[in-house]
Amino acid sequence: MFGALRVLGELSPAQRTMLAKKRFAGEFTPEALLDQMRALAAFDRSGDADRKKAGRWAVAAFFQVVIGAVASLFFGRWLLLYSLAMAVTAVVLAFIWYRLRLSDISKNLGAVALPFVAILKLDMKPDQTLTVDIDLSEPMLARKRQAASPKYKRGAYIKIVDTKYADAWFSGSARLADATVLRWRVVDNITLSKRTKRTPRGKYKMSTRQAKRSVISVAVALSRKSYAIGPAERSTGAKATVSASDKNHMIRLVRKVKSKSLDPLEWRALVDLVSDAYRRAVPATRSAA
Amino acid sequence: MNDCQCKTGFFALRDCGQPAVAQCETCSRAMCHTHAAVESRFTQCGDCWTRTTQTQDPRDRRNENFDDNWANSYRSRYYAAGYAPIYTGTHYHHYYDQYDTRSFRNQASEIEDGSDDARAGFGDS
Repeated sequence: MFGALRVLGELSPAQRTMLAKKRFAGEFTPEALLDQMRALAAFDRSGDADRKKAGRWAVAAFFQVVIGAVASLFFGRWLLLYSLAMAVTAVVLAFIWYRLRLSDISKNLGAVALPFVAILKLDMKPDQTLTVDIDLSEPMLARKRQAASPKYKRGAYIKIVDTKYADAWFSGSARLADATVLRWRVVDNITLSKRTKRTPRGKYKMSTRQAKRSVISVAVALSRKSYAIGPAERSTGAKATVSASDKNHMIRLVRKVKSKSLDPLEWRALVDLVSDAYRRAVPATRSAA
Repeated sequence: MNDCQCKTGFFALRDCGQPAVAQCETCSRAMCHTHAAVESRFTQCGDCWTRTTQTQDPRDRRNENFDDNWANSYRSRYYAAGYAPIYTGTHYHHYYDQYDTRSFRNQASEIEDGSDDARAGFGDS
């Protein structure tokens, strides 16, 4: 159960600062970035598991306190010592739960950003750097709240309030080995709908629904020395705009992914969008010929 | 020994360029230290090692660290699913014709109409 606390102790001061601020930002080489991300993702995984265990055992210990106290009335006061020991255990476990809860970070880091950067590493030279800005905090914080609808009725629901949140959690840029400059940004737009209805028996029931729409934007600046733009091949269904400057062909792609859960986005969507841009590219020398 | 004959990259492939230190027992390509699979005790290149260890269901190969082996394995599956990467290098090797079979099969229909397919295989580079 103390595995996560041990891993927390092994994190570097910079990583602990990232955990405290819930923000992962900076310029790194791909390998250095992956090392940092792997360490934080590993801590998050063990933290989640240990937090659940600590929570369960804390509740169990609390019940033991009550049981011990009641039993002491019938079987002797020595059982109060048992209750006291269980009370101390419950407090320690609750503290561990709270400490791990404070350090909990978004699953997006391990489930989306990490595999995406691992793929991107293949297209980068070891000494090239990429800039990332990852928000590791919860998506539905007060500072991320955009708007709340006025109360309204629909169907059986007598009161519905929709609150919208915008979580711009992942952005970054990288210069790839083929001189392409890649920029990306992921924004999760979340709608939290709190609904109240009245049952035929006259009771009020509340329910909460949530919907997420992830907006993935990618801008790929392909060097004109290496690439020309050909006809669009099979597409992911993203909106695309292509423009050209003296040095680059700029392909901008935007795709929206809807989900009824707040689970992390499927990271392949991000990879598919970048490959979608590359599908439009053709080698410059051959197209000139 | 020559330069490494393995290719690096995902969206666009390029020559590795590192000096070769060994030869892959499976595909006979010269490979550098980076592209030799440590797990095969440096007898196979990363691509061949990935192919031999790859299972039918990618979810079986759950790798939460997303290391280089995972990236190579995913690249292999991604190309097999239909993505034909652009090759920006100069060192042709037939290994990738087979590696990219499905991609080339897709492109063949475009070539038939007489148009110049600039995204053709590495042999055209």
